[in-house]
Amino acid sequence: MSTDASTEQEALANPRRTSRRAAVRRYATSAVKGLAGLVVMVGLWELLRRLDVLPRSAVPSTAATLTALRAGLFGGDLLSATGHTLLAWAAGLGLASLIGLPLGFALGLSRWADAATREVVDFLRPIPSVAFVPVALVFLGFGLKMEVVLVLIGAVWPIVFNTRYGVQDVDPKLVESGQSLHYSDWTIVRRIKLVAATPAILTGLRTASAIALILTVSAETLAVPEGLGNVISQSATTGSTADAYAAIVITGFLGVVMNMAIATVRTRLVPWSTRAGDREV
Amino acid sequence: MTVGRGSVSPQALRRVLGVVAGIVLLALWQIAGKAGISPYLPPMSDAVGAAWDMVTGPQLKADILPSVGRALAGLIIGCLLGMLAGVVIGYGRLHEWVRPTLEFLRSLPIVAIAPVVLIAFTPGSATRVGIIALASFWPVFVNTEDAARSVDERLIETARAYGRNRSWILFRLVGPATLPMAVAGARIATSVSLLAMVVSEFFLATSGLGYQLQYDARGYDVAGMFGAILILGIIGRVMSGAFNGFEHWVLRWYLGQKGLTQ
Repeated sequence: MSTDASTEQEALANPRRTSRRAAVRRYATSAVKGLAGLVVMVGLWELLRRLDVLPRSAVPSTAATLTALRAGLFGGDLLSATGHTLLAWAAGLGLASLIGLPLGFALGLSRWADAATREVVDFLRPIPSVAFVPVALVFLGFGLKMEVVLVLIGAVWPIVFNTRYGVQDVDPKLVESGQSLHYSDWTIVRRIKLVAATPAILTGLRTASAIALILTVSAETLAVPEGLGNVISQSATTGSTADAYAAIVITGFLGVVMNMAIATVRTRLVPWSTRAGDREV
Repeated sequence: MTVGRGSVSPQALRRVLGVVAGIVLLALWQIAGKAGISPYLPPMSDAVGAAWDMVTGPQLKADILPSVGRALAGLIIGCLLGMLAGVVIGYGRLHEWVRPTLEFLRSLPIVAIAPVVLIAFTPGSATRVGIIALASFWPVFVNTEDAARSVDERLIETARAYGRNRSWILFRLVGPATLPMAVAGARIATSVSLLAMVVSEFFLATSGLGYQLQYDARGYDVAGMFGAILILGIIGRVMSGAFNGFEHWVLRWYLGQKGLTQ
């Protein structure tokens, strides 16, 4: 509190420089706090392991995990496994966007198209996407193709739903303004509806990206003999748990990077959108 | 299209269109299955038959009900823990300390954790409930924490001025203030719990709908797989319907405040 007050006084005296300095200081404190929190959490993990609350036979130490991580990344198979998972993820998500964005737009713009698909969509929607993993295995085998199709099937929905919601939810006043400027229908779609729907679309993409990662790792854990999921399940069943945890760490890291990437795009592309507008539909 | 005066409204027509499209799709599935375009694609009637056999046979008690029970137990535990942790961390201004760690843990797909958790602990029902609870925890926690951080400072100061102690503020003020957001998170957690349920039964399982799916896949029993998926879809729909009722009940004071009750 007291530091806030003093920076406030500084800011009044010299607004430009101090606000930047304050921002740097705030960033540094939050980084230090975050790191301290991480250290405490890792320490707690080690303690629980020492006390055998987490079974020591099946849970590797932090040091062992880090060693496995380093060995796996430099010369081991973790790097190629990560590459495989990322490839399946990106290809599936790319296809899902190519199909989902125009479809969501069509459903958002046309009430008839929306109505024609509503019953089918309402029926399919509550099915958890991972339930299709075994089906995809039977139909498409154990390779990359199966993973990509699976990701497409699971990740296309959040993109469609959020795009539809975003397009339907555009403020009518914006559309009316466009009409009073004698914009054509197409211009209204492109310059008003697309722009106004972008925050919702990005929310959909973030959800889709998380689902895509879940589905690739699921397929790999269950059957596909490549990728991070395969490393996790193989290492876990053969007892080399440190390797399994190393692969888990990378999977979590991928998730963090994806979320950060979409958050960055969000602040660059749609700086006006508020957190309240960021809701999954 | 010419619609005579006093005849059906466009809304009703659209509804009919949706139902017709659904029926057409089912019919196409039936025809494609009967025509045998793929050895793996059974006709729709076989899938429905398989689902019916599961619901009316011994699998109801052996697989379906235990699955649903675990999903519900995990969902409730995860939501409660998510609310508790969200209020404590959000109101306690611990956000900056834990954010990077939790951001990482939250990004771990549940399917990556499930195998090692099941191996570390006994692969029984309790562990599976724990996996479902973990997955359901995040959406509730994130929303609650966010809301707890942004509770109006003036409300808290007013409560302090009236001599309310910390626990009163925590449970009677911050708790209820975060409830609408927590419930919004719980809605997401409902579908996440079903996903985690299936995932938890993919590994080292001997029963449950996820296990059934795996088992049918190994035997190339596609009708059985589609049957299990149909049942999952119905369970998902019932759960989200039940959730709507629950939401209305638990937030009735809030909806009343906002003038949202019908």
